[in-house]
Amino acid sequence: MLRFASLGSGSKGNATLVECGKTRILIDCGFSLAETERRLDRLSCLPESLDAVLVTHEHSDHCNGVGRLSRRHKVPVWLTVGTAHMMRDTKFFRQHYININKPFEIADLHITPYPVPHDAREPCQFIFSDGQARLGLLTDSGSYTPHMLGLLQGLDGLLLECNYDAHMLAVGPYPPKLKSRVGGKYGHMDNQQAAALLQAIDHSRLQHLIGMHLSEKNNSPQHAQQALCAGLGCEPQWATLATQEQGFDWRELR
Amino acid sequence: MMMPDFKPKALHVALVLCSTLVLSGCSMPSFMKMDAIDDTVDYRQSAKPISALAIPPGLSNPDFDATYAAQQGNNAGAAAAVSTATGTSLGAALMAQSSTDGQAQTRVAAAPKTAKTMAPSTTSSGSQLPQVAMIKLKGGEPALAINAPYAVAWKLLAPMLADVGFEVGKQQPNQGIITTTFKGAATTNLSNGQSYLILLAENASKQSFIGVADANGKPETEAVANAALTLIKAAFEK
Repeated sequence: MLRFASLGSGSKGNATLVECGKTRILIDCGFSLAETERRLDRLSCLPESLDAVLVTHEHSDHCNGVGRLSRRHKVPVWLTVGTAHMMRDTKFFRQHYININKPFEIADLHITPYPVPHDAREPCQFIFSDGQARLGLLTDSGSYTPHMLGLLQGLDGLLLECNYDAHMLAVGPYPPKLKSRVGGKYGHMDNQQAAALLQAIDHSRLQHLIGMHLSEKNNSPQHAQQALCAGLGCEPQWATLATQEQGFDWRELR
Repeated sequence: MMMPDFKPKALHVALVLCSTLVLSGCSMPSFMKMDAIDDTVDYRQSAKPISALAIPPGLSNPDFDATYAAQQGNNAGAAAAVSTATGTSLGAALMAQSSTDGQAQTRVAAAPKTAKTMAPSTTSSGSQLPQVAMIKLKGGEPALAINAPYAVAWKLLAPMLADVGFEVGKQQPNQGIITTTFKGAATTNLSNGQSYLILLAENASKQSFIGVADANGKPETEAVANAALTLIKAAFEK
């Protein structure tokens, strides 16, 4: 059985827990050490129980607390070479490099990394499996590639970025440069792209769909949820959203 | 018995000569080689003519593998804003135009007539001005594409506007907006004393785009925008 939860998701910090049997890993840690401990505690999780921290890329909302968490609680860190080169704090308890095109295992958990178009050195996202169910994580991607679509077929759970609503971004307060960056092919995924991606993949096995990394200024929960449901053709309450403050509570894939 | 009478000086010379030859590892000097033949190889004469190397088609025209290519056109960006174009959204539409990168670039590149005139021109100070070309946004609004990043285009824009008769008012570099009043010679489409907002945005490929809106931020009609942009374009091409 795969279990997963979020400590929080958004531009102020991201961290996601995935658990399989006795294996528990954290993907990204964009919060301070104290904040991470507090949020882990909320999910009844001790920091020292983590088997690994996986880092998707070097942006601060994903890697701010990785070094301190790793040293304090002796948690090994897994990341790509490109990400390791770009991170400031790389004094980890232990470090493992990820080959972005090669699946690997951490105890009971089978992990498939894949490259994403995002403006970082070597950004990646992951698909997790316990051998039966498959959980996909896709955030921080300005668009999607055929390679990504191929990997995301037939998932049992999907954590999918809905960063912004195109119109809200267009008329929002961001300066033009930042709008270009966010809206570009190597920025973030908007609600409509998320919906289009859902339509492009086989989602017949999907048990959980959760909208991630919502912008507080350029999106609204209503817009994101509406788009996800349009993409799936389901009732509005079926797709849920991760929040910056609460993330979301444990979910299970059987 | 008489021993040959070697003079020490001659002996020294003979010794030095021998040891030089031995230490240098050389054979006898060529002028001393009576049987030496010229071992120079005449590659030209001995080479047979062969046909030129053929370049495999895959090298000169490689197949494009889209496996890892980011999808074109799936980036909605702020394109939706074009249709609802109110003032600020025209700026966003300019940005959205650019987030579909290829299109704007293609249009710039696909204007052969303009291409000739798009040769970089020079300012009076000798620095090169960026290339410019008229394009149309998705919603049909005219815009001027500038082959320069935002920071460069912004620096140039206000003086260019002043050059072609626009009195420059409030400048908002963070928003990419310059408030202007047209003080040049009135034309059918540009009235003297009329206020316009000149909007600037940049895409991910570091190209900038200029659009024209009225004082309230609504996109100007095609004729007015074209007239204003033509003036600005001319300033860039001076």
